[in-house]
Amino acid sequence: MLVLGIESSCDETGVALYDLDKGLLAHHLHTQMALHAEYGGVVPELASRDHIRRVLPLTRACLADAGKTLADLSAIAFTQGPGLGGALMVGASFANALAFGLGIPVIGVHHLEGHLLSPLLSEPRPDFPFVALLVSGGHTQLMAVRGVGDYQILGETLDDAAGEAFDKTAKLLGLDYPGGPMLSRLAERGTPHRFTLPRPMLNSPDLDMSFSGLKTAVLTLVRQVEAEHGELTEQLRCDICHAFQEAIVEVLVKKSLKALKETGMKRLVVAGGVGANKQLRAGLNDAAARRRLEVFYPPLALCTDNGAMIAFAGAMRLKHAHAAGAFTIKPRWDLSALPAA
Amino acid sequence: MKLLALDTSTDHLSLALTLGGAALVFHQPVGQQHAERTLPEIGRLLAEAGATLGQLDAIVYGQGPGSFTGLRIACGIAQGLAFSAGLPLIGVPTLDAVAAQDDGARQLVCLDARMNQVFSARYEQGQRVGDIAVGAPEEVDCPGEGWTGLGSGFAAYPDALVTRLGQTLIATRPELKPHAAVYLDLAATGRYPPHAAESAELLYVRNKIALTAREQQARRA
Repeated sequence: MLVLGIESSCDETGVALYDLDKGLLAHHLHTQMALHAEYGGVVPELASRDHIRRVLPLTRACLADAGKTLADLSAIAFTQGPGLGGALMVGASFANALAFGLGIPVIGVHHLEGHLLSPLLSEPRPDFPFVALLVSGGHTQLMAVRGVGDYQILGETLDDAAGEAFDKTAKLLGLDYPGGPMLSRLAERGTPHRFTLPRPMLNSPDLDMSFSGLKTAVLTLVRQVEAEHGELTEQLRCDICHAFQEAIVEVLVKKSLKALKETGMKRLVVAGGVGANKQLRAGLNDAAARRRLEVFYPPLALCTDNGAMIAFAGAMRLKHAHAAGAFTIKPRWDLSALPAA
Repeated sequence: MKLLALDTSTDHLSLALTLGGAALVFHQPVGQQHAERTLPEIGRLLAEAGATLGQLDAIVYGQGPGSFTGLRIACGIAQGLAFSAGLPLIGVPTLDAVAAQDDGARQLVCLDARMNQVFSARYEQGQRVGDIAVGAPEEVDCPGEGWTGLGSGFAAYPDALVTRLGQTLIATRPELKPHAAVYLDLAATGRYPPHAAESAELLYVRNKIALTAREQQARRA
């Protein structure tokens, strides 16, 4: 059974081929980061215009890579939501028409389920059940995962997603969009404990988080530093980045451990773009080692949005596949509303 | 020629299929339901004609301008279908398909582009004169006389187009919109070259979509 997966929910066009027996055969990705950089953020209409130029060439490239033809496909999975409506519509239109033309079924995949299950594309594969920390530019959630489609939200950010906080803080520090990864690089050169920023909701009794206040705290700190030192030198900027990253990582690590403790689960699975953050990985690995917990990550290349996770989630849900024809998209879609696979 | 044509750039779903003879047509208002309706209706047309995609010579899509999301639904579906059956695509501008519905000597086509603007182009003797433009209806230029005004722009902006242009217009037909059967006729003229499915290029015409970070800063200053 060979599944083609198509992702177009935001600013990355991803296409992949997943074989139920042989695993991931090919995946291609086009990121629009450069396209949106001069606008300081994702422009939805421009994202859609780019998706429609990319999706067919990427599909061809995957087939060529895997040495497969359209006749080899068993089903097509596409990201049905959540995401930008216009962007989702591009992948959905192409995927459904291709399946309709080929006479094969389609599967509408929840983007976050794709992320959640992406660590299963890594070796060793985590067994169910596990706690998932889904942390990206759009989402920050802790979930209890007992099987494909069995997701319980344990806690989530009440305002900004962690990745969003990285990007917004980076902008505030004068870094170019998307500044999150650059902020992390600068943080590596920062002096530990030079500055301390608040850890919002660190000790709240629940598993919820809040990151929007950190921006304001950084802004206040920058003003203080500028008043004291006359200007924000490169080193001071690195020091602030370090303090910011340290605050976010501590909150994520502490809340993840708390989720594991409360559920009694022993495995933590990290997914989403911020899952590539070195400091976060170090913090989680360190904490887990001391408590005999296991932490799993997706392959580094699959931390961002990608087609592989959509092809894989589709393959896990083959029994939900249906004949191609009428289709819809779901820009807003609650993950816990998904049926079990 | 054996062709399937589709347009989803308006509130109508417009489909037409020909195997050389008379066309089978689906042309109805569907509101925002293009994603739900297009493939099933294409399936019905093919079944009615007893045809498969593989028998076609090409798929024709409304190239724009029009609703941006609508254009991409037709284009994405056309690409998916064409790719599945190894067919080329033929893109036809929406305004050409409106102009071709009138047999007068001169047409001024204005489609409502929202944001108080219209997509416009002029046609003489069945040929487009100049480029398709986007701009305020007050700025649509129409030299001479004997023009027939076509398209939704004349319904949306009657003062700026009908009243202002006055005597230059001999009639208006604001109800005309792109029609898939007309796409079939235009594609059959050979004036629109077939191309590989991945080379589809939509005509958005409105290409300034957002302010760059620098422009946002300049505006705040």
